[in-house]
Amino acid sequence: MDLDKLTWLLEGLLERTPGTRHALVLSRDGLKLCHSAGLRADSADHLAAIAAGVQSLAHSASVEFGDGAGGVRQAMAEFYGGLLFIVEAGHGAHLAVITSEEAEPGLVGHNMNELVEQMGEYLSTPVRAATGTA
Amino acid sequence: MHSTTSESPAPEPPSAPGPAEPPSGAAGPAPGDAHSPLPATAEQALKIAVVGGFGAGKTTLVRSVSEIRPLSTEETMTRAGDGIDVTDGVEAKHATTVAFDFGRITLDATSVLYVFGAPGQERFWFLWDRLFSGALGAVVLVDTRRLEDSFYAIDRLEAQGTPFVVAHNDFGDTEHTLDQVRAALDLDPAVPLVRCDARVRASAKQVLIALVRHVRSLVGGGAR
Repeated sequence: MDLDKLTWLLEGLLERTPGTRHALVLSRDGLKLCHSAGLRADSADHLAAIAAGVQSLAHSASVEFGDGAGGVRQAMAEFYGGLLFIVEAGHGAHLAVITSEEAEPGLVGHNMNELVEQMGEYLSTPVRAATGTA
Repeated sequence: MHSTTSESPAPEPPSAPGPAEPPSGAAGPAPGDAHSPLPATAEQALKIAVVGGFGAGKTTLVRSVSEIRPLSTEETMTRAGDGIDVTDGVEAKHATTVAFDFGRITLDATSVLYVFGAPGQERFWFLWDRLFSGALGAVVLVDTRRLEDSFYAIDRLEAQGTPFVVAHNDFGDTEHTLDQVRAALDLDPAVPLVRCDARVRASAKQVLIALVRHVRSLVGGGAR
């Protein structure tokens, strides 16, 4: 996986989307894969864990209350001082974006999905090979 | 009895569920029914947290004891976790909890027990505060192959004064006596230590009973 290319794409997303502050790609089990330069490593670790938890809970919500199609289109949290958006990105990965309160949610979501398409298979995080009797 | 079709009504509590708030449950038959809906008479909600190291069996325990289909947030482990989520000793593990597990047991017509399982890895520890809030007590699940993974949980519970019991999840380990496990954990003699098989409902239930007994003894023996 070409992390430099991914990071460059994340920076591009921030540049063309007003109000965005940080972008991060994480594995479904909550580990950062790459992130924009302004996000400190510790914050990136924390955001990766948070986003994995949110997506997993959102998935449970879709199973319980969705139409059975499965999957989560987008999870969003609005808090004092900003917003958090998360979308699925390839197999086993998610894209998380932190914005200021001024960001336009529709545009952020649109640009995130566009980016996911661009990134394509860059974003997939392979499942671990079984090391034992699994 | 396990149910695959029941729905869990109102009290979905990711944000600081307190033991005091009465679950506004759907009306339904008495507990023990195959679908185990929450009885309308339920008015007392009790909460227990299950903590411990990565791979100790927390999700399994919640699944075993829950009468409803448990909320589970297990995700497939990815290669990003190589070298971080170390599976030495638990090589068959392929999924890990990323938020929390949630199960429910109806104790009687008025009391309901909610069981929350925490994720084990350090990157999810920030979630533990919320899981502990309002909890009656906690179960620390330990795996003797990875005993050191449980130190953090024990230290934290001791530091915050939450009542807890330690359950040795017996993965076929017959070489260590409970006394040896207690010594290795340097466990306070006042903290109960029991052995269990987290996969077996009756066994997992005994762990919860041990915790409730312990909490009762702490609040003054005969208190109800």
